[in-house]
Amino acid sequence: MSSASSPAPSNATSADATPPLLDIRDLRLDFMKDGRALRAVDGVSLRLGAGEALCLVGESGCGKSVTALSIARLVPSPPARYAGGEIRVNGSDVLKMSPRELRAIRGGVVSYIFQEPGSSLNPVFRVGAQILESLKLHRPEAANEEEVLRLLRLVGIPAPESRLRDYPHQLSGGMQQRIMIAMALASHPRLLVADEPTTALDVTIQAQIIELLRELRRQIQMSLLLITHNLGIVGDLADRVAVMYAGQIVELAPSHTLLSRPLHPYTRALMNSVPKLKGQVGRLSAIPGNVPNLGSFPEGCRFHPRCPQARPDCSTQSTQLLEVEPSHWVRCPYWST
Amino acid sequence: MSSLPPQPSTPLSPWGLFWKRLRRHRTAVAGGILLIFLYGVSLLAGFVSPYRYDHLDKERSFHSPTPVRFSGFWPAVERFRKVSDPATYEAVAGDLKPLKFLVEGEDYTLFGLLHLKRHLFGTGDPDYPVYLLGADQFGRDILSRVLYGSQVSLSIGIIGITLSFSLGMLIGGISGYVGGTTDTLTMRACELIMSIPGLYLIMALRSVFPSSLSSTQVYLLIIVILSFIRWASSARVIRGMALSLRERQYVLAAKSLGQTPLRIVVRHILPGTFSYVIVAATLSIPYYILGEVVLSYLNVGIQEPEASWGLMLNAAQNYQYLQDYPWLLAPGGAIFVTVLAFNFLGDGLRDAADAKAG
Repeated sequence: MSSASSPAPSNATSADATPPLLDIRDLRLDFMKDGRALRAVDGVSLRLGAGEALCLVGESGCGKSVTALSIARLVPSPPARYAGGEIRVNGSDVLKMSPRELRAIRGGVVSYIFQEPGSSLNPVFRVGAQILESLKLHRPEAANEEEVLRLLRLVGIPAPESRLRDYPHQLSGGMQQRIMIAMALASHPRLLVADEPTTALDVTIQAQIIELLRELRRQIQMSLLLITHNLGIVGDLADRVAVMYAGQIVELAPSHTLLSRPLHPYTRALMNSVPKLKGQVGRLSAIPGNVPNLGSFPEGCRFHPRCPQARPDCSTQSTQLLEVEPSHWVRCPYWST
Repeated sequence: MSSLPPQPSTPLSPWGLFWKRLRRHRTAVAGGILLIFLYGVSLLAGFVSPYRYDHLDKERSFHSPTPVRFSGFWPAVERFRKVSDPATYEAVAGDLKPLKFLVEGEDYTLFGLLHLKRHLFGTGDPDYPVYLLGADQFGRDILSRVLYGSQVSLSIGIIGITLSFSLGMLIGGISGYVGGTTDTLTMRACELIMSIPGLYLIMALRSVFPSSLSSTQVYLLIIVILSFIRWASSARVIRGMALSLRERQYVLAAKSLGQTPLRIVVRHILPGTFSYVIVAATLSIPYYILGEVVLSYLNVGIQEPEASWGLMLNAAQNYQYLQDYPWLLAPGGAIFVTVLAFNFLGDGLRDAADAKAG
């Protein structure tokens, strides 16, 4: 079972020579509450190579954001505490870094964009100044107005010269998210982490932002870690998909494989709850129950109370993430049924 | 019906909105204009006042105010005659001397650079003094001393809030952002400072320093002492605001770009507290003005022959003097007007900063 804790590298040939851009190994993170440790991330392992796009999918509260924020150690601790594991960025462990080394990683290697663009921009500064601040931190030699304009053009902002001196509240949500992306790209990161970048936007704007991210990936060789609970955008953007439930990865597969043939009951349930354009129109199927609260995860398989295919031994037998088909990992012993 | 020009579609910046709401507040605008006037006159004190603050005239002790008469259309002052020796004066009817403008008089220095002789007004004749607000025990013009004194009393507030709020913002901001043990220690230190009775601390600190300090040194000492007591309360409020501001997503965004903690505090936390700081600072300027008054009144502030409003009131504390020479209370009027103007302006700023009230 030793292979269970380290799912397949993205690219088997490059794994030996150079360390992968991101290598999370058996990450465990607790939140301390009233002296009790509540496990929020439990043994997550992920690898992401240069230029690769990975999608992290799951319901709210399953540990996606905490995992993603951990890459640059942005989870405030306390209350968070890392109980074990490693997060290797370019081969060095983020969890062992000094504050100075961390600041070099943040923005320099990993950049973030967040869910609510409106609240990610400081309301009292002009957007041009905020992009300039990002440049000053990581590329001081390029901290000038021409570079800011180039970035604004790169993220598809029309008439960037007139937008430079706008305040964030003068821009629409889609424009604000483009500004955020420009800020994140200003430092030339190797990995862009997008934490539900479209959740707060209109559907049409969502499509534009997704299109922009895909276009940017093509133009600049950059890895992408996309967090979403929208399975609809998974196939558009990601090479691979990891489905998380209750702090664990329950299924990990190339995106086309996962979308066409989901194996874990939770993934199937998620996909059934997406409205379809074709076929009979009926009530949407929802997954019964809620994600269990932190600290009260059920024994055995954590999904079994909500699982339509649960068997008696699901509540006792703990589950392992196993490679059931080439590069297709599932945490369910009854995946084939 | 003339068509209106197209309005700009861009919404106002936060400062634009703030300014717009402030202008609607009549009393605040009046207070602001009055303060601009007071500070302007204070800067030009040497020029506006007819005498120097230390111009002595023993012959005219407690001279009563000389009202402005008119000789034709031209303003003039009467000559006064001493009636009895403990200082009673009487106008000599018909003996008028016209006032001159830009008249040559005693030397003074403007802005610490310009050595000038011309004063805004005066008679140019020592036999016809101009005491618009009367004279004190030593025959010094009270108006001139109020004007010179305003340089101390008005600047002490501005420098005081600058000191105490910079300290309060930096310490409060760091304390709130960093949190944990740093926060606990800083806040306990603030509480300690706040629990010391201010007046006694001032008296104690003042007595530690030699009594032979120059007026400038005393002036600086007063500011430092008053700011030292005052920063703790602003630090506590700012720390509370920082606790809430640090949870904002743009702080996380700045952190995710690798910004240093100090820069995050200065660039992203503290600007969010400006609306509070501007209001609180304006409303706490009177505290410094009154603080100086109290200290000078207790003889631990500005020393004679320099002028400050508190020191001048000190001379008016004798009941007999007050009854006979009520014009000695003129600096009290100046304090009243200034404090009121600051409070009006502060009220308006608070309403303008609070968008919900607008």
